[in-house]
Amino acid sequence: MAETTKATGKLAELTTGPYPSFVKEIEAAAENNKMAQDLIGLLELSYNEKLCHWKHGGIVGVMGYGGGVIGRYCDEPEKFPNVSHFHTLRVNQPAGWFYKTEALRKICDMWEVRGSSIFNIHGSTGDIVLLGTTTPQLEPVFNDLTKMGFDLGGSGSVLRTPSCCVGPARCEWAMYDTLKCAYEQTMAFQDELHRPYFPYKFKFKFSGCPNDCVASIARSDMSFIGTWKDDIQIDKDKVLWYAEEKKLDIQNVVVDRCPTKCMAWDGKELHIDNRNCSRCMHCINVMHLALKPGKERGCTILLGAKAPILEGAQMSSVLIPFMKMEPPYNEDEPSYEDLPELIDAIWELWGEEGKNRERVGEFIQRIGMSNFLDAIGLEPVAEMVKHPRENPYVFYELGDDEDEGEEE
Amino acid sequence: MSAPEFDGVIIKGINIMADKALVEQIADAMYKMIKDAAGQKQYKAMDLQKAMRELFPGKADKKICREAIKILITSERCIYTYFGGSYIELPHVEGAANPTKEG
Repeated sequence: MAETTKATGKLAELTTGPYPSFVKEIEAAAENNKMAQDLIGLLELSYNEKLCHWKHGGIVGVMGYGGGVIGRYCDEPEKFPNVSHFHTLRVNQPAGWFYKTEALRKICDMWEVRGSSIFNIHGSTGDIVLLGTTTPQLEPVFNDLTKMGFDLGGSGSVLRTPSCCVGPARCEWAMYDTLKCAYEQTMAFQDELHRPYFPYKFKFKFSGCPNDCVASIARSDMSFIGTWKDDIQIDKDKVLWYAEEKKLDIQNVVVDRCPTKCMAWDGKELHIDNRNCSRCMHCINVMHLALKPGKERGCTILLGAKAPILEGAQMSSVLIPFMKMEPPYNEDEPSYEDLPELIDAIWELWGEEGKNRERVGEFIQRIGMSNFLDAIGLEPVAEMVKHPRENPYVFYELGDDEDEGEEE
Repeated sequence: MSAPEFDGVIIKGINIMADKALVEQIADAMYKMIKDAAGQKQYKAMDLQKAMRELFPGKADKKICREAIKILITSERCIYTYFGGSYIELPHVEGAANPTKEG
C-alpha cells in the first residue's frame, strides 16, 4: 500500500470546517508515523464502505492487570499492515488533570516511538487515551509509564478510573475537596481498578458543586456532587447593585427560572425560601457576587447513572442526601469516614446478585429500590423521591407505628 | 520463658502463612474449573468465587478467592480477557489477532 499522508474523499471533508479536525491531526502525525498513514487509509475505507473495520476487546493486556488495555485489531491486515494491531491504552490521569509540561513531554516522546503518536486528552472516562500500538509494545509502554510515575486506568468489568472536576484548586464553588477524594478512592481501590471482579463496569465521578462539570449525574454509577445544608448566603447590597447598576432583570432571569419557585423579588430585596431550594445553583451562577452557597458544606451521593449500551440511558438518583466530607463529623449524620463501608455494601450485593453486563443502575431497577436499600442497610428518605407518585419504593408502614403505640 | 507464639504474617487481612496452602488449593480448583470449561464457557471472577464457596464451605471467603485469582494470573496459568465483559480464561491466541513482524 502506498504511503498516505493526506486524507481524500469523504475523510478530507472533515478537514474543511472551521473547527479543530481530528483528521488534520492524523495527517500531521502521518508525516512521520506509518501507523498514522495506514490509519488514514483504513478510515477512508470505512467512510466509503460505511463499515467498521476494527475488532475491539480480546485478550491483550499487561502482566497482572485485567484492565487498562483495550485490544483492537483491523480486519484488513494485508492492506493496512501498520494498523493490523492498534491497541488503546488508558492512562490514569492526575486528579483534576493538572500536569507539569515535562510530564506531558515525556508521554509524547514515548508514544512517538512506541505507538501511533496519536493520543486523546482526555477521553470521556477522564483518562489519557493512548491510541494505537502493537501487542509486543504493550509491556514496554507500561514500563515506561511506570518510570514516569503513571499507572494504567480502568477498562472492562472493573472500577473505572475515578475522575473529578478541578475542585478547590481552581474553582470557588467547590463544596468539598474533589481532588483529594478522587485520589484517595483511586489509591484505596487499586485492586478493584486493575483486577475485574464486578459484573460490569463501575464509575465514580466527583463534582464539587451542583453545576456538575464532570457530568457525574449522567455518566457515573456513583456520583458525588457537592452541596450545602444551610441557607444561601445573600449580600443584599450586591443584589441591589445587580438590579440597578448591572440592569439585571432579577424577576425574569433569576426568580422565574428557579425550578422550585422558592424565590421572590420585590424590586428591593430578594427572599429565598431555603427549605424549598433544590440547590440547583442557577441563582448563584447568575448573581455570583451577591449569592453564595451556605457554609455547611458536603456532598450528595447518587447512584445508578449510565449511558445507553445494553439498555437506555439513566440518570443517577439520590442515595445519601448529605454526607459531610471534612471533620468535625457528627455521629448522627453520614460522613466521609462511612464511605468505604457504603461502597463495600453496594459492591458486595451487586457482585453477588448482579447479572453479567448489568450495571448497578439496571440492577436496582430489576430488584427494586426498596429491596436494594434493605440489603445495603439504608433507610429510605424523602430526598430519594424524584417526583411525587413516581417512586413506588418508599413505603410508609403505618402498622409499625400502631404497634409501637400499643407497646407504649 | 517460653517463645512467643508465632501467628504468621498478616497481609491485607490474610494470614499468608496459615492460608497459603488453602489459597493454593483454591487456585488449583479454580484452574481445573476454567480448564474443564475452556472453549465452552467463560467464567468471571465472581462465578469462580461462588463455585469455590460451595466447594470449600466456610473457608473460601472473598479475600482468599481474590488471592487465588491473583496467583493464577501472576503465574500466567490464566489470563484476563475482555469479550463484552471481563473473564478469566486459559491463555490462548484469539482468532482476530493478526501476527506482527515483531512477534
